Amino acid sequence: MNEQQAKRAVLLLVACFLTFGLWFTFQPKQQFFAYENRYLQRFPELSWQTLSDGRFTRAFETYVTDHFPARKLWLQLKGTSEWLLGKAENNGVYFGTNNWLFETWNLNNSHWKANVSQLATFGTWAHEQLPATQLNLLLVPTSSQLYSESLPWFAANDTQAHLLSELTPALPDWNVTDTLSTLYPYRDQALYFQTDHHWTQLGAFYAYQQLADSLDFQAHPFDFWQWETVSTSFTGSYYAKASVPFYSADAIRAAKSPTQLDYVNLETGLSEPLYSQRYLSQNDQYGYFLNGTPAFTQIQNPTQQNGKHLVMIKDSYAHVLAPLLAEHYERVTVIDLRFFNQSLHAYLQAEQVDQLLFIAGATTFNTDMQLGKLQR
Amino acid sequence: MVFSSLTFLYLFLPLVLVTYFLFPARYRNFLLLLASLAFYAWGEPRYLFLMLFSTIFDFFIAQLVYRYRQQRLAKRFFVGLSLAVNLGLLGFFKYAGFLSGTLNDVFHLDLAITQLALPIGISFYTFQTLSYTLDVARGQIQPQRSFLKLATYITLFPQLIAGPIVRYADIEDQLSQRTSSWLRSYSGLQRFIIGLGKKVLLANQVGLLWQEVQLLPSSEMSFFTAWLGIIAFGLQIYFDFSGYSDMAIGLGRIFGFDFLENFNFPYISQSISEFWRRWHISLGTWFREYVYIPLGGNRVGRWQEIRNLAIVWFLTGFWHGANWNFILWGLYFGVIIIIEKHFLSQWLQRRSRWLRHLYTLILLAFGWVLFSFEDLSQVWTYSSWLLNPFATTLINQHSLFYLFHFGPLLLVSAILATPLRQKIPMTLPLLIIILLLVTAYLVDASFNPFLYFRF
Repeated sequence: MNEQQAKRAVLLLVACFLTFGLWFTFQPKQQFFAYENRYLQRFPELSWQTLSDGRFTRAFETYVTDHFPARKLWLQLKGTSEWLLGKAENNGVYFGTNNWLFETWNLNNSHWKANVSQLATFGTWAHEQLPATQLNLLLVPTSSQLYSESLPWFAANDTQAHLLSELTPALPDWNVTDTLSTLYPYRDQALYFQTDHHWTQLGAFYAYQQLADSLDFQAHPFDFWQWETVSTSFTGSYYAKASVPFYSADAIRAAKSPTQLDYVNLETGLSEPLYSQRYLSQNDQYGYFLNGTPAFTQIQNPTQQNGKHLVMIKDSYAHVLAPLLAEHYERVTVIDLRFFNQSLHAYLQAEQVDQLLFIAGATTFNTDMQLGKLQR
Repeated sequence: MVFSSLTFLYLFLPLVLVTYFLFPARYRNFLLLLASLAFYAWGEPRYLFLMLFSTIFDFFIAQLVYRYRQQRLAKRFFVGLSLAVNLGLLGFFKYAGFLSGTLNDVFHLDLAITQLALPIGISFYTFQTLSYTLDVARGQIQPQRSFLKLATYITLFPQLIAGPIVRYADIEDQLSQRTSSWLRSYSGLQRFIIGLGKKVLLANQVGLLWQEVQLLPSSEMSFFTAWLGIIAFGLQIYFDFSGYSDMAIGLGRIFGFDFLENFNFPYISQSISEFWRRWHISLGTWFREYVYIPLGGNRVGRWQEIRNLAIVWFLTGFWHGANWNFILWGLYFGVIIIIEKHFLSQWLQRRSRWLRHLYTLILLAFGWVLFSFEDLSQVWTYSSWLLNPFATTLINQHSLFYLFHFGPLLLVSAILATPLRQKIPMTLPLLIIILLLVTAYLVDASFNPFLYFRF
């Protein structure tokens, strides 16, 4: 190499540094990054205090990382090179075979036990205070439990079966649905999304059939519902974490019924359809069901005059199940405890509740769900 | 600030490079000083004044040492003062908590000295300022007349926070007169990007394996996993630290400084003595120059030589951290080196090369166990897992998963830790690929520690 070639090489490299630096500096900054479904770091507050204790510079570095130009492409370059290097996972998501992505599952014993004990305490209270209300529990296992043959070689995958079967003796006041055994026979069908942590509405359908026994209704058969493929471009939470663009997107099938119900937001009084088309053009297409994250809503079914009232205390796994159950109740109230700030006890005592269904994903139940709100 | 961050790479570095080369040579020391202070303050705003104090203090004390060079007593006084202040600051900020804790344990006292946060780079810049004053005292160099130049040397951001420990004598001339050329700058950038790749693409990635192994409950540990884990740590610390040195040397070269090499493929060593001639060379040189040789080195009796080695290795260990495990780590190598020197080396010479490699690597593995656990009972437990295949199980599902998951990366890293690396032509397209990959890994980085910042 001579001086002329060196000059060109140096200028090229410095131009690389400069280009991204300037691009970063002058591009308009987004607040929300749809691909990762999260809010990005805002420009940190600048003051003597934040400068001298290092908070400013730390937050600033996160700010640069979060808003770095073409962030999605960089994430995908990293995911792809991890995959090429033979890694089994990226950011905690396994590269499975047959297009499956799975989250690594590690039991957090203390969170799990705390959640079980909160349910038990609530059960004891309800047994005395709400004798007419039947309590039901449904935990949705992770997809890795049903499709473990698609996991990478030797991947750790603690079984959730014993955790789920231990729920029945631990919760005498609850009627526990064994979701794993319910879903297992149908595992050749698309019970879960391959690129997201949620189950599909088909998975929820088999659980709905199983629930019919304990909740005492006559489930509609498969053919009653009009199964409609509403999207073929859904890339979920696993997809963003793994960031391997050659895994293909999921299809979303929705079970529609002739009744075409709406739900009412009990806080605003506004009503909307159970399935909202507008989410399908966004990144988080699972929001199609029940409009994203409903905090406190009610589905009223004018065709059912049986007076039955079901309260669902739930996380997002419920969003595909609620529309199916709503066919059989005059009212289904859907409560997300995270956003529910009234007294649950007072609410349940004031309303006439026939059945209560607690539903959550096993992954959610493995975190601190702050179920203390169950006792208020 | 750290080199392996997007803020440094895409904001700080281009800004500094462009400004530096736009201005004529006479402004460049000043610009470098400004850049270095900003660089240091970014990560450690509170201790900026501590570093500035050291700089000002050593600037004046060296002048005094030089002025009184003919008067033995006065000279000794000023050298002593310099040692007391520099080592006192280092001792206070780095060792106060450990020393008071030890005193409390031994004498059942109740000294309540809480350990302050360690000022980044204090171990490195203290040794640099000491080398400056001591070299002036030994008459090897003249004190720097320009405060700007001395401050530029001490705070020089490429090597400020994690070495190599650059001796003033080595870059004295370059503080006044630096040549720059496109070829030099290119070779500097090349070296910088290689170091960046080592750090982000190798050290951080094999470090993930070590992190996982450390978190494994002992019921899930196996003989095989324990070995994989410590091998990963050995590779992590090598690529981390030598990558940092590469980045420092490369950046220095861009600005016209020649720093001495700090690593020379240490893992190909055939004895522990050789390893220490290839690992963190600038630290070894420092201790040899300013401790071992002044104590008489090996030109004294056998027992005094052993004493000298023991002192040097105690200090080497202690320099790495205020904890018993670091002291034992230093002494561990001291003992091995003394044994090698007096008995083992002749015996080893007659063995095959592979056996010598194996001998060295196994001893290093146990050394890294000592280095990585501050809790000595953990050192003991982990060592027993390595020594006894039946302490846990031989192999389990985790071991096999790690082997498949990290195997290719470990293999690539191991190969790149040998001189085979030099066979790869570091062409411009390859550098750009490394830079792109580094950027991708930094954009998605949740794990980016710098091991040598603790020191």
